[in-house]
Amino acid sequence: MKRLLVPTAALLWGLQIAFLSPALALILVTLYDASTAQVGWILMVYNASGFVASLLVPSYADRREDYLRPMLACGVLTLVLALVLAFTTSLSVAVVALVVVGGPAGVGSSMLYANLRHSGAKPADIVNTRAIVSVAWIAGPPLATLIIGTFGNRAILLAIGAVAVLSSPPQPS
Amino acid sequence: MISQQSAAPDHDSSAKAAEGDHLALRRRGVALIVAAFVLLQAANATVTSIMTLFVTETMRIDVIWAGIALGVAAGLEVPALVLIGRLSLRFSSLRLIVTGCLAGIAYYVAMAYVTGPAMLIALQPLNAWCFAAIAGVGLTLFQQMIPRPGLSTGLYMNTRRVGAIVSGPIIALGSTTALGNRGIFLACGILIILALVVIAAAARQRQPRPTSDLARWMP
Repeated sequence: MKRLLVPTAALLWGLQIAFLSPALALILVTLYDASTAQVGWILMVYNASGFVASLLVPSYADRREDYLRPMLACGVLTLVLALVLAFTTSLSVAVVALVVVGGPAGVGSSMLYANLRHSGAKPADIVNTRAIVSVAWIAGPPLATLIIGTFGNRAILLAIGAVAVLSSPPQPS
Repeated sequence: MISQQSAAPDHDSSAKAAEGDHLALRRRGVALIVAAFVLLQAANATVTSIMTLFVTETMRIDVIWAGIALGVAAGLEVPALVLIGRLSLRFSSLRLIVTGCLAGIAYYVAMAYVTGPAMLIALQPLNAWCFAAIAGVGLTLFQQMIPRPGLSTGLYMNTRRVGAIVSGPIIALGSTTALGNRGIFLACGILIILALVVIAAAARQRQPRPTSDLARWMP
């Protein structure tokens, strides 16, 4: 059971990104009436927030030598992002959520690799874990578009929220 | 004892191999390669972000085709990476990246004129080869240019993040052309051409081989 924990976490973290990245532009246009040009600028600020978070969160985790808690926090932030995007109808609220919550949430998978390294994993284990994330990218986009096509645009946000809950299991004592 | 004896030559040989495949570029050359990779990553991030919108709003076909296209590209990337790994034994990293850029240019230009799902899927091997070159050879190239593994890997990863930021304006500005969303793909093609030019300029920034290094090659 314990052996499956890391590959499962990698798959779920991979799925979160593989669900959100291709679907986000479509969600912004269909749910909030954004134009394609607006989508571009929103993605710019969202990714800039992710870049800043990718500098701050790992350095905080390095100082505390604790990667699990920031990873779990990222999972919670993904859930919050999915819920806000699913229930708001305002483009401004969606943009604020993407910048404030979505940027830091995206650092979760990096924390998984950092936690692996910190717990003494061999380079081969880390490469294998990365390979599972690649598998998520093969299955993720078709699955995401199938969910959108079958259940509508909001359904993919609920799916992302569900994956976030699954990828944040109770912390082992 | 036996393991120690066998481990020592292995360590030496790997250290020599690392020294042997080191790509000595001047600082300007390294900066140019980093800039080129930001452009390459930006083009790739743009495709991932815009595909669903392009398929539904521009091609007017079911959204599932966007997922299938991205999934096929990701699936083909695995054998492409394996093939690139084998080719890297015969060809330099820079040459392999040039093949990726050429595949990328063909892909983005063709995507601007794609008409149906069959053509959309048929083009994905080009996308897979382009990204496999960026992801697979790119990381190796950074590690060859910059001798510190942590710095080189971190710098490579940040080209992806900065590329994602750059993809925003590409989508915003590319969509305002007369071609609409198709213009975004043409903008990506132009980015790859720019990256190719920058890589060619970086290749001219090779450092002269140090005297001691030259002595090793003398009979």
